[in-house]
Amino acid sequence: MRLLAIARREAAALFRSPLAWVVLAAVQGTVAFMFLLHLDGYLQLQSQLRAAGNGPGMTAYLVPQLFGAATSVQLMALPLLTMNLLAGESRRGTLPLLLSAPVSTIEIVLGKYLGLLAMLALLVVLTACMPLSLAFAADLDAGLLAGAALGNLLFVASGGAAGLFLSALTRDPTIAAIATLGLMLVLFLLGTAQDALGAPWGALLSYPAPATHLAPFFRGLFDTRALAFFVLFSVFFLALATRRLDHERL
Amino acid sequence: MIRNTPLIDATGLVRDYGALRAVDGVDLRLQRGQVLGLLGPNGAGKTSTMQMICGTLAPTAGHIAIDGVDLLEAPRRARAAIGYLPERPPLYPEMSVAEYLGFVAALHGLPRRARAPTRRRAMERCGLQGMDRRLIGHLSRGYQQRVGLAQAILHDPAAIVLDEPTVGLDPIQIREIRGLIAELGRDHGVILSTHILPEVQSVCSDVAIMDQGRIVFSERVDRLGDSARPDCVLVALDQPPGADALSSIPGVGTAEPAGSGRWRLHFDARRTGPRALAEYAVGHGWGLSELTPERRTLEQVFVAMTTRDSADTEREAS
Repeated sequence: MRLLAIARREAAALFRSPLAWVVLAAVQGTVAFMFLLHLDGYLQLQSQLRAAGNGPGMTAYLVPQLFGAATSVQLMALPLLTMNLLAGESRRGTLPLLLSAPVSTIEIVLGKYLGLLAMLALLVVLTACMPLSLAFAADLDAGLLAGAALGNLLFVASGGAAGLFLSALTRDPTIAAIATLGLMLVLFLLGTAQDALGAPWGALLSYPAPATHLAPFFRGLFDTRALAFFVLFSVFFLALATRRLDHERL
Repeated sequence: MIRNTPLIDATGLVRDYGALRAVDGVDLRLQRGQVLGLLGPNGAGKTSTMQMICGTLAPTAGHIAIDGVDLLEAPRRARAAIGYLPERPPLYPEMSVAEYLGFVAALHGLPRRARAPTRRRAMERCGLQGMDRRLIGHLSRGYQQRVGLAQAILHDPAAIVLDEPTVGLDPIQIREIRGLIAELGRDHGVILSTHILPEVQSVCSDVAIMDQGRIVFSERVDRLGDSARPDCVLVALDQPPGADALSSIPGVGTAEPAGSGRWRLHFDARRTGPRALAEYAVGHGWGLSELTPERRTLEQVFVAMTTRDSADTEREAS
């Protein structure tokens, strides 16, 4: 499969680049620090929660906090992982290899996206490892953790699609990275508009923000409406990227 | 019948970049066994033309068929029949030579079992034996160029398009690459662009000169001498009458000394010729001892074709 060949090469390039490992390390370090803070917070609250009787369990308390914090850190890391996808190819002059090969533009875009997803999945797995590290000492709600990890994966996947599109627009990876960061931050801020503006404008403006669709996953719910949002969001940007590449090519 | 289908058949290619028309109605045809040298000054539209033929640049207008397959209607099949080496070899520096060529083989949809032997054959042809595990980023410019060339011929395409394949190489590497191109030209068709005129004469069977987006000259290399009607002779005279007398011969435009008693006469080929000039010189008792029609070299053709046109545009512009 030509699509898989492109995906494999992309993933290999990402896993070989020092940039990706530095980004992973920085994200992991920051998130781990936040995890410790939240864990500490839970330990201090634990006795009160137990006294109240029906407070949230450890997983229910910790997981939304941890993944909520992780998504905002990942927001900063995403542009660095997506910027080279297509802008790097144009800058290094390797794009003609893909464009002149007997592969369709959709295969090129999806192959690159799949390769990126391998790296993003690692990002999510590393985050999920933190609560998992407590499994030897406490009972974890595996379903809740899996739901949150899925939500997190959908979140970074949607951001990755946007980054891939912006990387198709320019030959300069730095510009692609900054544009992606800008877009993600604007969407993030729109997501907070709900509280500030109230209905109906708040709901309308915050709808395109991926972060606002994460809540059900963080409660361990598999919400198909939220799933549909993330899929549509990603497909939208992948289609734009395909169109953009098609425009250059015959 | 099938043998006669041109490997590349491009008609009426046009490409606009905004208001600038980079390629303006180019027709190109390449047959099996042909090595076509595409010449032209910088910005003549050579690279754009090659990109359109290889399907990496959408033409504004025109029609391209690769080995009889329309590039627009069946892009996948048409692309499979072409190998392309852009001006900058499309290499991933972090990959090893074997990995890279394996990836290119997969891109071309070669079955897994066929990839290793195909890769080895291409590496052998390009002189890359034993380089399997070397990282491309660590190779010298010449070896990177060879990897780029191996990539273009890997899937045994019918037509091969090479954009300035010898630029930046040392003279020995240039010789080797030229040898390979000549070899490829025997059972494939090759289009190559270059700035080096002797390169065309040494490896190409055909030459086309582009200027300002158009093909202004197209000829077989072995006919280059006689195609251009001689309009210049070199004469040696024992009693030369002087420049004024020589340039007043009917039909002769200018006469200039060419050293060691010889004169170069430029004449209007419609009004006179070498024979009439010889008779005239003998009739005037100038002691004609030598008369050589001067063939136009490729360089003269190139300069004539590309500078006359720019003079025209300057006139149009003013």
